[in-house]
Amino acid sequence: MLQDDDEQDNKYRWAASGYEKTWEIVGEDDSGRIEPSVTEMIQRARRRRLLEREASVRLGIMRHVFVILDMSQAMSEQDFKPTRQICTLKILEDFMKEFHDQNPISQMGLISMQNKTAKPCSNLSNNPQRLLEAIKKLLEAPCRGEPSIQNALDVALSSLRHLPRHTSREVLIIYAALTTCDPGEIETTIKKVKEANIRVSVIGLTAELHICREISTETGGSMSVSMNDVHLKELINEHLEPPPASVKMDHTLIKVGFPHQVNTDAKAALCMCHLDELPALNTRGYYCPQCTAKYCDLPAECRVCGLMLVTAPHLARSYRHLFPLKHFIEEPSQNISATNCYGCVKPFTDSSADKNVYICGTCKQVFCFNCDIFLHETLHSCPGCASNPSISQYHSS
Amino acid sequence: MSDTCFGLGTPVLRQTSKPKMSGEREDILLQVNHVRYKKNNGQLYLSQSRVGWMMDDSDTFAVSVQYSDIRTQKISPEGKPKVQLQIVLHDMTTHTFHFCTPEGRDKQVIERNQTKERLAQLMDKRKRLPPDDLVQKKRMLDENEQLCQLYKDLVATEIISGDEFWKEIAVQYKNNMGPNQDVGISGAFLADIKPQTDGSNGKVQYNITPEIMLAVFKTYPAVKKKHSEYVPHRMSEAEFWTRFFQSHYYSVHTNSSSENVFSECAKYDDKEWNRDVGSAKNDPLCDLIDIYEEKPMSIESDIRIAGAKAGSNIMHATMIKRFNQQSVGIIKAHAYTEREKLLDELAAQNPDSLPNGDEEPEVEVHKSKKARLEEKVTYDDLQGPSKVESASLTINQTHRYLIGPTEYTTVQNLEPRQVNILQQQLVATVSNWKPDLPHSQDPDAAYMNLQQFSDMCRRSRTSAGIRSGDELPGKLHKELTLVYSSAGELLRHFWSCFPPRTPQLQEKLHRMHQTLCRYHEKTIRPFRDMAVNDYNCNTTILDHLLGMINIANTKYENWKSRNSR
Repeated sequence: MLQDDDEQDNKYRWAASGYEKTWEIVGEDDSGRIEPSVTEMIQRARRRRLLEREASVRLGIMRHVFVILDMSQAMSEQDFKPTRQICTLKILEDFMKEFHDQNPISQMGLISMQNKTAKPCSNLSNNPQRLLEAIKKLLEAPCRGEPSIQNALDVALSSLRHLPRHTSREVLIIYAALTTCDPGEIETTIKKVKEANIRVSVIGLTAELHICREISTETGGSMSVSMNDVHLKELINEHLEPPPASVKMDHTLIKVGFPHQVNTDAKAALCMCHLDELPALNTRGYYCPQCTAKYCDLPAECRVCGLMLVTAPHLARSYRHLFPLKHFIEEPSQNISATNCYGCVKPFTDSSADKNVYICGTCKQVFCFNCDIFLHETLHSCPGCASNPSISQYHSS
Repeated sequence: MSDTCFGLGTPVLRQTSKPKMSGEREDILLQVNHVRYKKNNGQLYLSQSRVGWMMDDSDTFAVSVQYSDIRTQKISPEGKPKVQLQIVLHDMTTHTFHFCTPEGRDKQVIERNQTKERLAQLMDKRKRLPPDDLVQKKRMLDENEQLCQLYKDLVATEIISGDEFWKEIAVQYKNNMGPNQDVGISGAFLADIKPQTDGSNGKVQYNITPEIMLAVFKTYPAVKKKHSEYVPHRMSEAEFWTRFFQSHYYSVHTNSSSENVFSECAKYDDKEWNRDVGSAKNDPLCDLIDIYEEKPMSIESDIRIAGAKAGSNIMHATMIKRFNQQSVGIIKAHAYTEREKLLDELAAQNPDSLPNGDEEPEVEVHKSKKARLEEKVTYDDLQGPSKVESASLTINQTHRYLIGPTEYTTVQNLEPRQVNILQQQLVATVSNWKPDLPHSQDPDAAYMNLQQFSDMCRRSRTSAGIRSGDELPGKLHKELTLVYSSAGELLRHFWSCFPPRTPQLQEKLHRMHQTLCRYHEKTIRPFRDMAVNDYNCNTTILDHLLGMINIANTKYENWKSRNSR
């Protein structure tokens, strides 16, 4: 009764209906490896995302980010090798180092959810060492019980609530369980979080939960679910970039101190960052310009007078947001006369990776696909423009 | 002689002079005669806000305790000859009352139980008070070593008073303390109690933790009431829980012998269920009243649609009903906790407030059937992505970001012809240049400079050695660290007062300045003297700290002179 006589040519109905055969895209390259084609797909997706990012949007560069990690029983599953817990923690380690690199004036903290309670593993701090130690401890902790989103958000709220209004407050939840066991109504917590102007994003490892989606849309964050460990790394690294500032954020002038490293008339002092362990009494370190307290490392927030201490290179790192590198023009490689990439001097081959080349709009140099990604994600400047004296001297951007 | 005012439940009618409790006229809710306290006969009174005991032939209260001070009450076990009630206060003092009516032991027990119940009710009403200050302070001192050290340094040496300490300095730590976390009830809490069977005897063992007990009490308030009535004098804990697991709450086949304990609970639960279902009128598409009844199968065209078959099998219906009751119980427990937390917050903000009545039940909004159908038809996920409003950034003067401030210099403009000539001249000069190394510098002057330079290097290296921490003896080093830590805290409070916009900040600024001066006198000077005398140390050891205090002082003086103008 339900049989179609049209399909007599041995095709399945689902195949004829325009079903995308995604497995055919993955092929082996010349050396017989599949991995390059998979990474290529991921890179293309990355490039697409870069294009979507708009310029001339005010960003929240001074960020205070809490990472809430699920340590419930669901994290001991082994679908991410070796277990979800170990895989996620390793990715978080790299994330924290990169975060500290790219966001020098931001702070990060860590909270873990286990046994229906939330435990703060590390408070908000500028120093990545403490976070890395907390992660090492979590690597050995067992995963037990059920997570509680309400308790974790309450703990994050109690710290983020007292921060000045011009900072960007964010929470990143990494969630693997399919349930949450809360002591009360989570709606009230969501309301409080929204009033405090905190942006909550969720990365799921198993599936998308309605409550996670609701939290992230209400607070203006993002919700995504990862498919495998490479995808998870990408999703977490998306949060390295500062998010667009909400319209409710104050914009004020912030007082910043620039300590000199060489102090000729400095007095020997104990550093304020290591008072718990016996610090040495010497003149090595940076002295706060306002209250002369000593610190070993910058960037730091002066514990005595509250002044933010940075060096000029730290602030200069955020220039790439003010003057982003313009997108390159994509052209098929047959139309271009150049035979080598200007960035890596690799000759353009006939393989699928070199089907398109990328041309800088200002200096008209030609770059390959990998160089394009590298320049836009890591270097943030075009070597063609920098090596061209007429362009680089007059700073025309 | 004035009459006694009676509330409900007075067991004995007596006309005595109304005792005045601290000058107020309070209503006495319960009065019990023949109560002994510390071997004296007297009467026990329960009033609106406190419990008191008065000796016979006296008109002042020997014992008067507010309900808010009572932590818990205990009673003597069943078998003991003395029938006693003990009240434990927050500061761990106890009062023991002995009921000794001459009418017999049973009457004593009745009186004691009546007192206990009334006291429990009144205590519950009074419980909604701000969290105990002392406990919180202790917790803060335990959690923060630095705060503890600061407390010792400042309050013990009388630099500032204890009150000031808690008001000013500890406030920031209180803000940083995490919230008290409550634990929710997992949906599977009963299922997770995995009983272990002892293969040989057929005995089943259940492991119950206090958390499971708490979860059961929160979900089934009827069981909680039963527990407080029966345990510990009518039944032991183990027996109570065994009966619980044999009852309808846990197993389908109930033993008729244990029915008596929990059958009342079953009736209570059924009543609650009917009430809840009746009040859930929110959704016109969902009719819960008769889901357990058998529905006839409705026949439409050729296809038979089976009705809800819950009622077809009584056992299934009962089980499903129990599951639903458990779920409703869990959800209601959460809502109850949330309300409690809200009321606690309100009480914390106004410590002197009294509740003036029970809260109104929430009014549920009736949704029309049309609205409900529309809700079912639209899906948020399938709508297009909404554009997020973001603030835009426009940079007007880009060259200010890229080039730092430079001096204004006049730039001479050259024509291209001149540039070429200059370039040629430069090339010629460079190619004709012959270096003349032996005569480029005076050798004596160079040698002297080199000597001076290496001398300075040597000196700075050794002076760093004197100042390095390796030279400090361990104990002195530790004490120095502590002094730095406390001084740092004080300075932090000082600097946080700037800019002093409000009068409170100005007040605090004055006080912090005084505290710093006193700290300087009392702690830093003696420390320095001790370091020099006892350890034979360099006198520059505290220079940096003194410098920090001086800078703070200067700032204060500047502000004062500017403000007093």
